[in-house]
Amino acid sequence: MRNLQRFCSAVLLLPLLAAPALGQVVTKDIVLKSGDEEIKGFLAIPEGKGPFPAVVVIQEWWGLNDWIKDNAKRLAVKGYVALAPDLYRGKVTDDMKVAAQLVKGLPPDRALRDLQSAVAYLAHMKEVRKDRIGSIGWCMGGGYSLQLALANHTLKACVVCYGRVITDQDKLKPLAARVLGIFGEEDKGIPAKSVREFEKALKDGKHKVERIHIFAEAGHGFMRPTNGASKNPAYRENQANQAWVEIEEFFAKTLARK
Amino acid sequence: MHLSLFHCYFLGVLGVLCGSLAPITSETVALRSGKDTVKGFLYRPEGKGPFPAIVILHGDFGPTEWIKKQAQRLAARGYLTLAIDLYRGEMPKDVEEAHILERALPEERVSRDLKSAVDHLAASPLVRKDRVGILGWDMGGGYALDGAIHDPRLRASVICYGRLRTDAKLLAKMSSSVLGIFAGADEGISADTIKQFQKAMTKAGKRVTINVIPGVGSGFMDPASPYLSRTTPPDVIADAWRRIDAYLDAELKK
Repeated sequence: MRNLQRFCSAVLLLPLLAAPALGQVVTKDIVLKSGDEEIKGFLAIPEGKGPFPAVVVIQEWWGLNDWIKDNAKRLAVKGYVALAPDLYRGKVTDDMKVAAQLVKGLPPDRALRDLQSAVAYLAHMKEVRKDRIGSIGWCMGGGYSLQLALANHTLKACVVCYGRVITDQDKLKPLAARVLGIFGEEDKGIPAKSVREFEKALKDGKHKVERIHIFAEAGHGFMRPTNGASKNPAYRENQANQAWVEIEEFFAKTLARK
Repeated sequence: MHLSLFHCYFLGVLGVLCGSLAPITSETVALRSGKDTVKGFLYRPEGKGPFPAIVILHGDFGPTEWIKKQAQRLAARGYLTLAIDLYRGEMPKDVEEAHILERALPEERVSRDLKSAVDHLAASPLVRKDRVGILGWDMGGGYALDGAIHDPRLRASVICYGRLRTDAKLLAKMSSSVLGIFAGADEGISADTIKQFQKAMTKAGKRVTINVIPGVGSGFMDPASPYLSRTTPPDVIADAWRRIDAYLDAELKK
């Protein structure tokens, strides 16, 4: 019944909205200030008045592609303002050889500054509860999700999906956010052993850990269904769905609570 | 045996490499890096030394034969070179595997490895310890810059199409100067990003020379780089090497 009401109000609102509405979500391309630069971002806002909790959504090495935007929309449907900043300055690809170069074209300090700017942008939105901001990223973005949580202590929740881990307890010291880790046991770059060391370092350092979940029969990139126009052979539908359930429960617990 | 065994408890193949270049000696070493070890390929010029020295950092595809050849080439030019294996023996088969390894590489382990390499060189009686540099390609280029930022013992740094930093405060920590060799047709490292780096280096009061080689792609110095859509003309590679040699000679041989 509640869903029906939401659906109806979304339909009624539709002609009134300047930006295109997708189901119950408004999306728009925005410009935000990062240092001396103006960068782009993709913003998805839930229907209703808010204020809502919010999530910074962090791209993979491919750039700010449709899958990342879909993930932002998915979170907005669940009631979060989601902002994905464009770390690559407009570049996006589905060609691995190009992605490998794009990843190297990204200065890590500039990327972190962009992400900090995204948090600041969200915190200044009237639709956002500024004490309920989290981050999520996949692959390259998973590593940056952790980096952002280390650098910004206002973050309440941090999801790392098969991103670079940190196993040095000292380096994790500044972390304030609760962490959910999503990994694949067949990931050749981040072996289960490193993930366990990451988990141990978090726990030994008395950090808030929701779960560090190493999914069986899954490897690097298992949540993404496609590679550009073709299927992603690493995609594992069941594990991906389960990961989304855990992510949504985690954000609900850390960000959406009263 | 003149080689120092400080920080080094395994000695592998010792061989003499001859060719058209000046004869050099090669050796495999295992250096202590925190709790584990990093393998290194050490190349020594002929003579007693002490020599200027260079840490060599491989790119996305690991310590390939090409990487070792470049380390040998520099040894033949009078540098003691140490190419370390950041991947712990893994050699990626293709671009995807390279990405998976590169993206996941624990940065704190890389920092330890770099420090171990510099420690090893600085402790060797064969090395002029105030004449140590670092050089890397693609992934290794990015880490060469990081090494320069975090290790004040490094005096010269060559970044070949590696990822940059743009924060002047961070760059201000380094005591090294920097030579950057970039590819004009690089899909990732844009002219804007190079400009941001250059500006931050200037603001930090650091010496930097940037060469952007027009028309070539990322990875262009290695003719077999999987990133290239066409091979680089040999004279373009030779020209890049002339710039690198001139820089290293000026910074490390004086």
